[in-house]
Amino acid sequence: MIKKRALLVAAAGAALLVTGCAPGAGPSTDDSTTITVWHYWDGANADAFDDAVSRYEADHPDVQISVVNVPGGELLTKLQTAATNDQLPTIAITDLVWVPQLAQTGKLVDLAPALREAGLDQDIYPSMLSFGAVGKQQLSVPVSSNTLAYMYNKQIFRDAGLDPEKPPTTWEELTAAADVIKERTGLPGYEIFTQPGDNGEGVTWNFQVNLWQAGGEFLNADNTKAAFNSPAGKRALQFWVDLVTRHGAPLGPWGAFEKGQAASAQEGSWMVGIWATDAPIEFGTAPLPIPEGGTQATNMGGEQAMVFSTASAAQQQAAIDFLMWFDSPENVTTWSQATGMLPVVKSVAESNAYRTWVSANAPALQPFIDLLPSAHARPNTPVYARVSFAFAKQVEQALNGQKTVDQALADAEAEVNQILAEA
Amino acid sequence: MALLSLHRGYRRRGRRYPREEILTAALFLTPAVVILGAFVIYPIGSAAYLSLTEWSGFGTVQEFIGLDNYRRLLHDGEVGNSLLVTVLYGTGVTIGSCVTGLGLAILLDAPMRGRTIYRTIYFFPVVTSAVAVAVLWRDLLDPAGFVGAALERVGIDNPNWLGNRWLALTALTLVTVWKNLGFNAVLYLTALQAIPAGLYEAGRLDGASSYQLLRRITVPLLAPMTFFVSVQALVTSFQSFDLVYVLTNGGPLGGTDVLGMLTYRTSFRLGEFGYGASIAFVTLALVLGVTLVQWRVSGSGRSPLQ
Repeated sequence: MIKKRALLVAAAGAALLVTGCAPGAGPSTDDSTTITVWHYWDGANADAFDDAVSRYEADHPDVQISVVNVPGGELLTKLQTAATNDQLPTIAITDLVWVPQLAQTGKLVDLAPALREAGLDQDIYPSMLSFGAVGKQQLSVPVSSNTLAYMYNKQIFRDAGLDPEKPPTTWEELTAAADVIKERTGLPGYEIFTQPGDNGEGVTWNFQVNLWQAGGEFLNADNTKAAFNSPAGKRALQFWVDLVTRHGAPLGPWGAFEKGQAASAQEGSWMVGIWATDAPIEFGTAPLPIPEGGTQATNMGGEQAMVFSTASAAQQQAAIDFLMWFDSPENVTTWSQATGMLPVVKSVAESNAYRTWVSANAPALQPFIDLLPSAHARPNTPVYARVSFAFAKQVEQALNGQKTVDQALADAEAEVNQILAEA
Repeated sequence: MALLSLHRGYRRRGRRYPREEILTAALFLTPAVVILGAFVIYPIGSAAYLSLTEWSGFGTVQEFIGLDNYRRLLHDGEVGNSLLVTVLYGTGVTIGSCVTGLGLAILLDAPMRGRTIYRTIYFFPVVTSAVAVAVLWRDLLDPAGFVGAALERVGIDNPNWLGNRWLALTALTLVTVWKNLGFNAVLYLTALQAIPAGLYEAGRLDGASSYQLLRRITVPLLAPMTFFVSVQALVTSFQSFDLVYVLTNGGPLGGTDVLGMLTYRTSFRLGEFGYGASIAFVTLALVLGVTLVQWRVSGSGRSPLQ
């Protein structure tokens, strides 16, 4: 008995010692707030994020930010587990297509008032805000973005006798160039995604670009019905089928262009960053070729940040403040330059300072930035993953000649409508 | 469970174990029971419950829907396709494993120089991670890869291995057989070396040809091992995921969409955890069926020598 009590006293003493020491280590005492951030960036992007965090901490001594890197393949699962156990971080930064799913947890903090107060609601591109928009609430903010543009292999263009400084600007020019390249070099002139793989999004998000260019929509305005079974949808799918059956686009796993085995493709702006050093090919970038009478359009990716309501009020406040600082023009400029990701605010994307930096340091990014105003957002629905896969499977059927364009789109429409009806 | 059978055991033999011995036995069994319970039995039970619900993985609502998921998979074309693909793949891998395993074992059994080195080399793919093997073969089978170049060298047009559903399934089967070749050969090798040399000698004295020796002595005496190799190949191919995931990702046109792929995609990529769990139970039923057949037949699969 006496022994036990002695032990307790010792333990309490130790606890006091530990807690007594803690404040001495930090710069401030009682009102210090610690928030945690989970993200999946690695390499240079992770370093740039850590750098941003230390700059913020230097200006805000009362806030400590603990950054946890979770590999991309594990982040969603980890957040799922954390949501069921109430072990969520203060902030999660994820791929934007996960936002509607995370919103289902019912644990996201509304960021709309803070965005308005910071004046960011008008500055951030509207298509980027659509992912986290639920009614009047804004449950996520974009922290990075990327777009798709036309990327081509200058050496293959030269080998085929084409001008490497004059990439195609229309679908017709694109198929004509593809024919010449196939004939003179034996290589495919243009690569498209032909296999849905385990999620379909490679096919679907690339296809949406051509659908929008032809004047179509993917889903209706309130995301309750498919809208792609339209003249524009048929035109876009026919374009893809023709690319495969008549213009030499390969059926197979994606990656021929990146290996130098195809002359061009629709690629993401991240490739400019990946190929900034040691590019395996001599590449050029350009706006996307558009159909006759069509309009320019692109798809948009990137990461968005969310704040969880499971955090304390002080943590939520600190998290919101950090995110508003992160999207301030000053930090967006630094961050975009460090990572090669596209700016999320117009005031930076259109600023002379940023444009001058791009033309001096990463001129290949310019077409991707120019496409930002014509970037569309993918539908904000929690069942988007299922919709995307069902659609991609039907596109694959059409590309392999298993179904006609009309049949594939009709079948996709029926499947997608059923998924949306269940949601 | 374990305690009950122990109890029955001592009754039948008509002996009484002292109380402490039963307690000791229980003590020794506890760690295994606790670990199996927490990491095997409990997850299976909770997956079984999950398969009776509808859950997106995020929503706070996990709705109990009874057998709806099982009803749905009866009419799901994807499930039918996956069953077909899995059975074709399993059959191909099983036949391929037995034939190549035995073939290589006979070669490696023959007296020759550097036999140990060959045995080691053939074992490399077995201990290599499936992901590394898949990445390697994806590059080799690429239209611009080594396999295509080699085939064109001998005047064969390189088929689009990973762009056609039947070729992709063939490639996947061959790669799986290749990866497991060393292991199957070692199994057969041990069985080969257990065959008494006298049998061959007697056969030769009776004027049997090499083919007759193989057909009448080697193959029948290896029957138990063939049985083991085939069940092993069948069960592992029914559970396969990693190799498929990296090599073909289930495509093209669902041609390599084995049940493991379908389960993963449905649950983790498309956010239908309840339905995904019900598909996992279809796989479980299939593997269980194969194992039961193994138990039944293993009696008759005994070596003629015994």
